[in-house]
Amino acid sequence: MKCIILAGGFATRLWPLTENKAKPLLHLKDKPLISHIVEKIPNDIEIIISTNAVFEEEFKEWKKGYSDRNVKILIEDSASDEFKKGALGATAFVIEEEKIDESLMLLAGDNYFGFDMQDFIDKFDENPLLAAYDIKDLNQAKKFGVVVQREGHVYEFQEKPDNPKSTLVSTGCYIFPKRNLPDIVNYAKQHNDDLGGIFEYLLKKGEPIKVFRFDEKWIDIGSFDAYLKANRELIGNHIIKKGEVKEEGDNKYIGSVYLGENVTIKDSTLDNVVVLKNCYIDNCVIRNCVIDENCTLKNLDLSRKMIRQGSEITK
Amino acid sequence: MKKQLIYLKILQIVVDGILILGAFALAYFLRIGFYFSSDFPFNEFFLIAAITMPITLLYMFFIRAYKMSQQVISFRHIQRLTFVALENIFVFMILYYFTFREFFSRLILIYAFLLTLVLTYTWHVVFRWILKKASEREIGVYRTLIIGSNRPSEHIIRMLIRSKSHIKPVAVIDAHGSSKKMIHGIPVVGKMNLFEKTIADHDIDIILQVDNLEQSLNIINYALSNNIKYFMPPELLGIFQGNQILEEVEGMPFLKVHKDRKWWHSIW
Repeated sequence: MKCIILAGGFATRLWPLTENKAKPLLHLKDKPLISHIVEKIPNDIEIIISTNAVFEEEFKEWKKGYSDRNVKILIEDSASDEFKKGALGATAFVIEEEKIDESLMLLAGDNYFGFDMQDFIDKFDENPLLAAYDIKDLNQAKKFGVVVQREGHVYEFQEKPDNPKSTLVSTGCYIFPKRNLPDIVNYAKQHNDDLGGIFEYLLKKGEPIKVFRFDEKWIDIGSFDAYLKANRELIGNHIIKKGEVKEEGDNKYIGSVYLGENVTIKDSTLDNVVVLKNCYIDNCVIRNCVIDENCTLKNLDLSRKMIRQGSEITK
Repeated sequence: MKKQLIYLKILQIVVDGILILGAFALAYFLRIGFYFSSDFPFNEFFLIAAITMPITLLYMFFIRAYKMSQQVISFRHIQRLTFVALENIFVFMILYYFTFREFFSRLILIYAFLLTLVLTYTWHVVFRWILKKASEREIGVYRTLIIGSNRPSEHIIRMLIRSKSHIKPVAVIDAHGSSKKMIHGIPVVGKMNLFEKTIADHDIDIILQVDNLEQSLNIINYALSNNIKYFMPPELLGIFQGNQILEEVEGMPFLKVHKDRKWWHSIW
């Protein structure tokens, strides 16, 4: 089995955090999101990360921390959001480029999965398998691929429906047997961004699609709110300090706080905040914010903001 | 300000000065007749007018009559120039009296007041037309990036194009990703990930942000550190109703929203 992690999106909704890095490289708890995913995949599986030329260098840099793993970075030829291949197009590109001829695990690089990946793999029986999560809200379900399940199999699949028939949604985690790979390649030629559509297509073909239902954490980091929530849930009511953090004066930390390397905090209140490396924060009250690397903030009251890398903001 | 605009503004001010002097001279000849009177010497009269003129031009600066954003064809600008013409006459009267200790025909002052007002206002209207022509030829224009492809952005783009403003929209960034490719002929270049590239590609002088409030902090910070002018409408802050002005409260700037616009708010 091989594994493809889709990491080719430009994540424009998370600008400016994604200005210089892909969404899977965003910081989650104490490391990049993609590290959480890779560390869950069994060591014997080759991992192919599909990304675009813009983020190539960042992924290569990240990969240096996983020299013991069989990780390969495959670059799509798209250099902008307008010309990107789409999730299914990128998958088909990797299948053809790498001449994959075995079962394939496909993971969305912007999802956090709390379940044990080995349990998921154990459930695979040479039929397509998808991981599904009960989101418990029909309105929320409208944003995802909805799975109507019967006896452990997909009975109906609705891609982002107006009237969802279930609250069980497909997450970005699938395994396809070798026989379905040509189906993916063919379907992608017509619908390069319709990953959910492949399941509707396979159902029409009469393929039995198994469901791996899980209750552990699952977070789709599609927006700033989701990203904040993901950090809040994984960090909990703790403060994580990475490396040397300089603290001066009277500081107050509330909720989940991450402080990166070489950060200085002085006379400030931080409430659910991620502060990445080399930042200097003086006399600020910051709530529900992500402060990117190398920022200097002084005398500010900020709430629900993503602060661009290298910003110097002083009031 | 753009170099070409500075040259045009200098032209406007020089012509204003000439017209103010012309108004005094014309008032003299209209009242006295078209000859040089020995009872009321023209050279003394014109000397005081020449001393008054730079003070009046300075006054024009103080009341922001030369600001690019002023609406020239408006009652407000007429009010503004009326005050300028009045100030012009008062300063002239005082200077003349203090210098020569004598009064002269009051009708000259009324003529000078009316002529100053008519001539300067006419010139400002003509100058507005010159600016429009310059804008059409891309002379002294501020290349502007619009952030947002919503209805307020369509409105402001339409207004800027229609008025041939020196604020020239050249690109639109769609904050949320819509299918629009063009707004009134201005290309929608993409989403916020193309922000920096768009500014470099289009050599942007002004950012008009009409959408995506949550990114205003980053956009303002970028604008300030790259010497780009930044504008934001009160609508973006959820302020749609009432009249809005910037006011200071103990030295801190606040946007004041008040229900009715009183007549005195229109003075300046």
